[in-house]
Amino acid sequence: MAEAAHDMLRAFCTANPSCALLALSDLRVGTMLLAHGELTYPQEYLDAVSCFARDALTVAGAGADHMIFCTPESTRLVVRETRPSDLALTAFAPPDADPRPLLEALRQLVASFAPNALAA
Amino acid sequence: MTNIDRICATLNVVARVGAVTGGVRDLPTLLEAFNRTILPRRFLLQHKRGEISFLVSNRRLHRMEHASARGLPWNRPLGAEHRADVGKALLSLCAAAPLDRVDVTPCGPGAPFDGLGIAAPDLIAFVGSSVAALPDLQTRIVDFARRHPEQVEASFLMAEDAIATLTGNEEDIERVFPSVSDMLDRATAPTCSLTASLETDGALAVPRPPYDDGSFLIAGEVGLLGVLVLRDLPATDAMAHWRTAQVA
Repeated sequence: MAEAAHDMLRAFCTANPSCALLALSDLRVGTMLLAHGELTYPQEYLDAVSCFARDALTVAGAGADHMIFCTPESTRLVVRETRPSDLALTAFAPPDADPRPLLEALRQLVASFAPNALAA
Repeated sequence: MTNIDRICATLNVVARVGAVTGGVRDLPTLLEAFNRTILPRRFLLQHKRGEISFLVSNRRLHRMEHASARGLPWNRPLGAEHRADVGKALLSLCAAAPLDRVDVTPCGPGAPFDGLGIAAPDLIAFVGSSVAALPDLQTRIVDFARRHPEQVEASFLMAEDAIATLTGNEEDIERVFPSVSDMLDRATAPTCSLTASLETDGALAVPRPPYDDGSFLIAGEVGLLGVLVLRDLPATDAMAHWRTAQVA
């Protein structure tokens, strides 16, 4: 199942070239479950991305399913699954990327993850 | 040291900092000096119709929500005896600092904000010019508001708990601040992983309750946050417009 999920991340990055890194996190434990992209980071950084996603959605509030954070270096878009599955996707894109098409694509992708999709 | 002493000392610090630096980055410096001096008290910097007043408070700004709910103004006046004391202290201050007139509108025990409001013409001019000298964040926010007048309900600069209103009026800020306040607290908490980037050069856009296409956009500059309260503009659109304006 995890391999199937990784294939979904890979397919997303292929279909959305502006997504340089896509990470799937378990917000409950703040852990990176899967990541795919042209950027390579140590696991510690990817776990930090999970914490970032958790904090970002906390800032956005319980009623919000997404947030966008931009720096001069990158755009980060975090989208969580609206069902209580504690899953969230974080997409890293260039700073000038348009977040709007990415948001819809991310919503569709994260909704496709069943709560037990990552069970080995 | 009494509270009045602290306030006088703070204003002297402000005057001294202004005399020494007088540069582009003064506002955060001033706010930092102000907060450092009067802590644990807080203050509110309001900019309305060309005036700036300081409201010193020992409660956090999100208590505005409670004040608003009870129909209380933010700066309910104190009794005459407090006003006299404050007046004397500020006259002394005027002798020491380059202020030729100080109007005092204190608020105090029993008021939603226990503190002191000060409107000082010279200080107004000085701080006002400092605000105007901030070219990046303030200009970008005001420009954003000019480009999207129907979508921007209010905007303000914030450092610590100090606010300088950029667009909108006092009533606008009072109305929207309760919903902004909790988010700002979460976004700027020391444990929040966004904080460091947000307080330097990051920008954050999130949907705004009740999640009907309104959004908040928070942009950071060194020591300063700018907040846009937006309606009918989703977070993604808000960020896209913000980045476009930034590039332009």
